[in-house]
Amino acid sequence: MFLHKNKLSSVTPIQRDFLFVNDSKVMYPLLNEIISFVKIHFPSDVHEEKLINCKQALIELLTNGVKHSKTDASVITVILKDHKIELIKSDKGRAFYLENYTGWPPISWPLSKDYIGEKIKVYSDDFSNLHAIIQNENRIAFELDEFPIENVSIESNLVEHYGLMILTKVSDLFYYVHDASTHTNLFHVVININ
Amino acid sequence: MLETNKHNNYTVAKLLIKEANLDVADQFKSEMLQLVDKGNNQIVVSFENVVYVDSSFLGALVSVLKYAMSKGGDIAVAQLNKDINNLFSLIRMNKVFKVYNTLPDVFA
Repeated sequence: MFLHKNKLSSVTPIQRDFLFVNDSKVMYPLLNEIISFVKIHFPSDVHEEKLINCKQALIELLTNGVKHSKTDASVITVILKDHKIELIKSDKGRAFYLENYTGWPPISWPLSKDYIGEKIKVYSDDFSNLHAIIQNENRIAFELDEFPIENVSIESNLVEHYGLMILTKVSDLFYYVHDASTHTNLFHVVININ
Repeated sequence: MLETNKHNNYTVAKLLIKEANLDVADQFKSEMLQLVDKGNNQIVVSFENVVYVDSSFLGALVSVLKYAMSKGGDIAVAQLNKDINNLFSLIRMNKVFKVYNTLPDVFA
């Protein structure tokens, strides 16, 4: 059976790793290289909106590598299936943390089993709340609650941190996994195509 | 990083960078705050040259907006490419900032 060059087999995912040296100066060329790879299989004339989301997710994953991972390199793994694009950023740097976080439940990897199902407040402002839900000892998934924006004024409480919010918004599933035994961090973005 | 021009009742601050990311966010914020402090409190930021925006730069933009509003001013954005325009819609920054396709005649 022959497949059209742009049509993915439902049984054979296509996977490729891209090394990122956590340097913002090479972000844009790498972004273009990854998007070109995705476009071979999901042409932009058919999947334009999904590719825009994919591009923005990559920008934030790469930015996260530069800003937060505190290590020399990350790997971006792209997995293309027939109905989804998966982007995984992995590194062996600093585990997920929140600056100045003193809330409950505490963030200490691996997380306590007692906290499974609990919500960590990542941020809260007048327009949205972002939570990380503890799914197991090693995994949190992000969830955004949005409120209507009626009027923005000097009285408005507006956050200035958008990385995790953007990743949550552009994806159909977004979660983080920390493997304490290998000191590996994974940010996993899934974008459904249909 | 910014080229500024007076334009009717507002100031255009044109970004001279291609990548609006964490490398330039602090400098952008600093230059914008100086503009506001010099009395330019109605500012339209032109993204004509910019190919992408990251969350760090967005954070700086929001910070500048809050400062301008505290001085009785406002910040708008203009000439966003399709990807950036989509980002603004997606995270509802188009409700926080006035968004113009082209430089407006009057910043209202």
